[in-house]
Amino acid sequence: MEIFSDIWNVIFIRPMVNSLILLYILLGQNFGLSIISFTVLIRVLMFPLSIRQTKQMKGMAGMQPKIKQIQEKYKGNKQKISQETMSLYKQQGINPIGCLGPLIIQMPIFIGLYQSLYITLPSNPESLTQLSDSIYGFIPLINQAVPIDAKFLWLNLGSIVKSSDIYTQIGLPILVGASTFLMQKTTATPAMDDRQKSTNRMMLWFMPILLAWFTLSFPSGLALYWLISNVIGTLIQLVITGKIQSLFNLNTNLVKDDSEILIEDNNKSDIHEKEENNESSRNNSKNNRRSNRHRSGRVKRKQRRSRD
Amino acid sequence: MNKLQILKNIKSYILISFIVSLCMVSCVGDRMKGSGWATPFVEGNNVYIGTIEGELISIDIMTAKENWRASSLDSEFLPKSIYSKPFLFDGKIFIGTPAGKLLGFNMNSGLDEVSLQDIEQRVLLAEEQIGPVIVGNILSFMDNYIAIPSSDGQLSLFQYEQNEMFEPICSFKSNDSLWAKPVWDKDNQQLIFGSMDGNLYSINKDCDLNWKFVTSSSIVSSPVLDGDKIIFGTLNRSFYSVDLLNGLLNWHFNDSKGWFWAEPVLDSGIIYASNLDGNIYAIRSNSGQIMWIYKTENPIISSPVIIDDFLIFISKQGELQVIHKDTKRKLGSCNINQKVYSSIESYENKIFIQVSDGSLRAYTIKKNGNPDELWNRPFFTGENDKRNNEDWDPVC
Repeated sequence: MEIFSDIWNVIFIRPMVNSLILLYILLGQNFGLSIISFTVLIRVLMFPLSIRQTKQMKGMAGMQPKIKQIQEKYKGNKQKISQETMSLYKQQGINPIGCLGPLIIQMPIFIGLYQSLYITLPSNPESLTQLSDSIYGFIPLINQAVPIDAKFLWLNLGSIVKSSDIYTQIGLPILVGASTFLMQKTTATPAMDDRQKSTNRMMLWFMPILLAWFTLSFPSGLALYWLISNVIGTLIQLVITGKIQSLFNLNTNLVKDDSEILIEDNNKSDIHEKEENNESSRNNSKNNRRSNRHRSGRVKRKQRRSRD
Repeated sequence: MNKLQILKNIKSYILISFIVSLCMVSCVGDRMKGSGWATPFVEGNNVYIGTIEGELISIDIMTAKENWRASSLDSEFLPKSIYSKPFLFDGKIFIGTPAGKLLGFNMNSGLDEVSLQDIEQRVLLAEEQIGPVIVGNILSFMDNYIAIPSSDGQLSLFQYEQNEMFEPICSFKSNDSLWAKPVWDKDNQQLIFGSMDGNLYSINKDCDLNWKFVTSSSIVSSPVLDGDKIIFGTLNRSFYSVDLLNGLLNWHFNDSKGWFWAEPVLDSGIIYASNLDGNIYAIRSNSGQIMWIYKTENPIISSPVIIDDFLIFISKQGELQVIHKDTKRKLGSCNINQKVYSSIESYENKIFIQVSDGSLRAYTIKKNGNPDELWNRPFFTGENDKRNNEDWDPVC
């Protein structure tokens, strides 16, 4: 077990602790700003994944009518529905659990950050000795920055929310809950059936309430991370989906909607068909015109001969 | 189960595991639990210990029997673990609590004989019910003065009055926590203490600043007087010797790879300092020159002690080692296999260590340097701890 803990420390805890302290030094010894910029950094690194996730979700949304068709076509044959749906996903290059990527990646980051905050902002002398094991000895600046000043606005980032003042106890869980709700709302997976619709609706309320409740047991610094992460996540989602551009009348869209791609594909094929039809009709009319011309030429020639 | 069903299940498993991990990380109870930080204190035939549970216990040195225990707590709060070492004053045992209070107990009487209220003496360091945590050891000086360092960065001076109460005299505020014990320089009538703000301060007994020595890092290690100099270590891996009169630097040593956390020991012109890089440094006090370095595998948080020619220290992982103080030759060792944050208290040829599993261990250092168990089992400090009745295999 110790080897797993060592690996975990090397991969997650030590880089996180040192990054947080370095940012703290660079940002004028303000740990709140350090957490905020760290969150932005994490979100930026996860940006390609977010785009992919949105693409997948939109793709799934775009496929709903076809899935419904399959469900109606093979009513009662669950295996066939599943087979056909899977092959449809495959055709469109969509992974039904692909949208969980950012969540899976965020899990170790969140747990690692939780531990890192405890190590970086020690609540007792024991934790401070632990910090000594986690910092990189080759960066002398880091040793000088210890201990970290945990004050940010009215918050003590190292103290547990429920043991903080009343404003923090009420304000932070509400902010975390509200931002989680917004995040859920913007990133909700499209429902395939009524059951999933009700699950989605339940999750939309359940997750924010659960996280608001958990926030009480987190250090304020972690609640700040969660809040900022949600806000940035929501903004990114709005940018990706083009909703924010439409707000400002911009025509750019970072992600080409898969449903749009599907529609476009359909349109294209329709247009192609139409074009083909048009072309053939044009050809037909050309031929007709030509044959007409030939016919009229022959008639004219006949008329001239008879006059002669 | 078809493929789509499996994928849906995977989705639920991931979501559930995310929620479970949130639950797990939100359980912070254990993190707030103490680790047995306080150094035990020996007086007469008894050893006194401030425990993880926030109690002060008197234990008979020879029999390991509990004489009495007193609770230091009058309200429910976290953390409750005691950090400060108990000390003797006017025939009473005093202890600084994590609630920012100083409590005094009759050293000979158990709670059964004298009620807590009768023997209790309180000094509140703050108007609130819970004051700043007292981590550093409290200093008694000039017969009737005490100096209490607290985590709000304040050094508070109190005078013992005829009515057996401590009256506040003055206080000096530094810019960060005070975790180190102050020292009293009798010749120059000054108190010297290090702060987490990176400064070493000298104040008189009216709390006026004499001088301050600026380092670029926090000071957790208690300073040690060495003639007309004061020596101390810092978290930026440096060790300093400073002139007592004017606070000017004599020498500076920065060849270590870790923090100097614990109070160093001075013996015959040699400073023995433990470091979180796992090494013990023997440094000449007049020049700052390294005499030798003894390397171990694990960080050393606690202060070493010297008994005769033996230098005894314990690592954070619980490996107790005895080496010759001049030759650094290893003479004996034993592994407690528990984390140790507390410093070692020595009395004659015996040593006492508080361990993070909530126990007090006692060892005799034999003439050949080998540590030997003094008691047939550790003393577990928790009230009604069942481990006190179990058979125990000696670790030394």
